[in-house]
Amino acid sequence: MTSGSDSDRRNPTPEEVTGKPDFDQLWKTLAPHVRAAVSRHRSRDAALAADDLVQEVRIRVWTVYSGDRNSRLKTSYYYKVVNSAIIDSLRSHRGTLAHSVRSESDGDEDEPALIERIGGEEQGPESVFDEEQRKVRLLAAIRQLPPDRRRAVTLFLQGFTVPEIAELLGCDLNRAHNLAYRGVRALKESMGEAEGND
Amino acid sequence: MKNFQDRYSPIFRDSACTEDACPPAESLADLAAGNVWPWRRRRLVEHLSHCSHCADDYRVLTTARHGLLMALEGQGHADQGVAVGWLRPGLVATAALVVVALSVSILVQTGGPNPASDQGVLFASQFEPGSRHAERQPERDRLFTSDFGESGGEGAQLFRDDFGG
Repeated sequence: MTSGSDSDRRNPTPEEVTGKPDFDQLWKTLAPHVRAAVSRHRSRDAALAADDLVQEVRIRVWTVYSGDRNSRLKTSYYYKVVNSAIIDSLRSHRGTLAHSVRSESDGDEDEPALIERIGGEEQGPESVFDEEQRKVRLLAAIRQLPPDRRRAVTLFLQGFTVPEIAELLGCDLNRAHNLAYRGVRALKESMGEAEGND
Repeated sequence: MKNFQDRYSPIFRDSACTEDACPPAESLADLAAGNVWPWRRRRLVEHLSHCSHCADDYRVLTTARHGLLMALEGQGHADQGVAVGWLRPGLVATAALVVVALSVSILVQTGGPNPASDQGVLFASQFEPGSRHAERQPERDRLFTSDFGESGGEGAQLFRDDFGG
């Protein structure tokens, strides 16, 4: 009886000691969001290795959790820990599989169809050269834009939406839309003229 | 705009940056949390606009942001106490300083309260020789007797004469 209560006193749970929530309970609420976000990554590597990535993030969060002696779980701190762990895991898994960039159309494609499609799209040297020339013209046209528009357009070309661009640039939605729209219009004109001249 | 994005985005993204120059994960995490100074944010955004890898990684953070924050706050451990913990003494001290500064400025402008003046007013109204006189010239008596705490008489008369009262 006495020895039982002594052992309880020697091995209290972390929750009893610190008042923090149980880690399993904490992770149970975090994991679905991490997994869902990683699964939607453009990189096929990251999407296919979602389980590994989530596990790595879990280990990082556990390390911080077990070393945290505060009785309060700080939201902003743990949010930063999770985000840093996600980025580090994504970087460590980059390039581990072939065909890493996933297009929007191949989401439901089975493997034989994918192989056939890739084989059929093999580019000849002329099309590769044209593509290269177009890239050079595009980059030259982007360089000629005013800094604000250039930033908005390049973010747009990276796939960010207008609200995301507004948040990144620290401006309101209308200004972000105007910058991106005018930048795209200028690029269209430049590229149209350039391609018309060819 | 969408057509333009579909057409040129793959070409643009193909010119990815070298990963050696990528900012540390903590910087992107701070950017996602909105905890960066404007100049730092500008540099990070500049990098995101030219680095496809970091742009994709950052998008994962923004995708997960709402859910993660809700989940963490749902644990009932929002860190308001941390912010308020260091903000509270500062706010109290600032508020106290403002109140003191306002009080001093008001005192300097108005010349400060003079308790004797109120007593002087009472004296003047109570010991005025005639009630009709008090009704006719209440302002003059109040003005000069209250400044020196006198109840009237020669002093008051002296000031009235000096200023043509």
